[in-house]
Amino acid sequence: MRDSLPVIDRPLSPHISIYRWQTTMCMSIAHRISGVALYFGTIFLTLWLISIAYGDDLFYRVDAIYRSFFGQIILFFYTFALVHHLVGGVRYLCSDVKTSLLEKNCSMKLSRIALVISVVSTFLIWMIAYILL
Amino acid sequence: MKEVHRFFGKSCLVAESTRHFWMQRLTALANSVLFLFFIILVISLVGRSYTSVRGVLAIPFVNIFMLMMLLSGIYHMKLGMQTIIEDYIRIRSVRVFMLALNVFFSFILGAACIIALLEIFLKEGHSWL
Amino acid sequence: MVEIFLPKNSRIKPGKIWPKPQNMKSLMEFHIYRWSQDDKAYPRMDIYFIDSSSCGPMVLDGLFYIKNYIDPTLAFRRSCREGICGSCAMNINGSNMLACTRTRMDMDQGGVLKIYPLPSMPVIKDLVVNLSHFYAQYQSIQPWLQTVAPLPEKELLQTYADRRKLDGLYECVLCACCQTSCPSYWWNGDSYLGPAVLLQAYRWISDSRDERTGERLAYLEDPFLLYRCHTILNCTQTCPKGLNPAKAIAEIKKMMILRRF
Repeated sequence: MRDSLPVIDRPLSPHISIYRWQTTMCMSIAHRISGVALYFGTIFLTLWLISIAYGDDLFYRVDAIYRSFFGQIILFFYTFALVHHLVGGVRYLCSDVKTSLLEKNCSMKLSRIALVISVVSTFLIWMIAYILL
Repeated sequence: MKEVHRFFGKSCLVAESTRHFWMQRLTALANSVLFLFFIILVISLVGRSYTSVRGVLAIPFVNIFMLMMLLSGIYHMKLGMQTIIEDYIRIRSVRVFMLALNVFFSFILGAACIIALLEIFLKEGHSWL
Repeated sequence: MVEIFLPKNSRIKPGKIWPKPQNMKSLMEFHIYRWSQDDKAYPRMDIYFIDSSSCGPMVLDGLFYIKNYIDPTLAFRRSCREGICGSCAMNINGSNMLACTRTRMDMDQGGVLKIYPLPSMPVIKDLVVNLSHFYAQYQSIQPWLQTVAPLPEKELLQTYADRRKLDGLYECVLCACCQTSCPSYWWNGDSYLGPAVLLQAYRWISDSRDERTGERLAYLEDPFLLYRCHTILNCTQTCPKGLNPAKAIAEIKKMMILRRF
């Protein structure tokens, strides 16, 4: 094929823009996004620990920031990321050990169950925390 | 198959990638228990005064669990971010820089957490120390 | 940074709307990806209307109708028309599948069928993509029986139990549906082997007659060849033969860990 275009000049067929979104695919990317959120959210955890270690003045200041509306929003999303990553992670661990959980219907069902459990657990945790407050 | 060994040399014998995968799963298993404990601990600490919070964290059992949770969590997050960087960043110089940054970030956070927890534990004046 | 957005020469423009045939009993709309290097233009989406009642039930029958009666320049691979050769693999309404094994009614979304070539592959023409790299990756895992011991006089014997281990692995037709459904393969296709190739790697690893299992596993000891799999599970969802590449990859990973202990 003497007049054929080199591969590098050929168009690439569309991928993410046309591919059908499925629950398992969404859960996988949510697992990654929650992981990144937790990565940066660990800064908040470390700040909290440092504030406890270095005196009540710093602790109450940090506590006030975390109790503010903006702080509560961030904490809520951090909790959601934590719980979602935890539940999803447990699902991935189980399917790593018992590979029969990776069957088509089973994996679809499990990913839906994991999503429901993570949403419900997050709200439960926050309700309990507010009741205790 | 021989070409792989020629390029990567000893890393294949050391099985770095499998080790990364194994440690990721191991820390994931540890985290699933430790972070459950952490969530329960935080709920129990909600609304308490400073001395009360510090007192709870100075209990040796709680302190050690927090330490294990943070070390396991930070190692897990370092491994996870490494995978993400390898997946998405293709330009070699940027990739090397980000991988190094990832290691530094994890170490700094880890060191800060260890020092904070030690500070809480040691300054409590345990009678048996 | 990885190419989440398509390169400039791949952006799709609206294309030609072909006229509807006369006296149609039941209308079906096909939106098909078109590109040819002779056009010297961007890829486009052409819209065709077919009479569903006057052609066979499969998506491939619809494509034949278009090629025979409306637009003969439409290019697509096909051969067996029964789901065994793997030629007609394409993306239909967002999922990769064989056009010959899915009915149009199955895939119907409001009377419209959107047909794209297999995702993230260099396009040769219309729905035909360049699979050379895929075949090269398949070759790299050495998909043939390798023995060290001297061969017996007749066959290499295998028990029924050992032969059953190959069920769900040997049926792969190398259609590349799973390969091109994997987001990891979209972002790292040059270095990650992909679900289809790894399924075949596992087929040879789990074959009791093959004696170079250690070398096969050692080959996969690489941050990219095997470990770009993050159990996204698109491969298992899309396989037209009902196989499970994700399970095979999980088994390989288990073997990779166990060989260290």
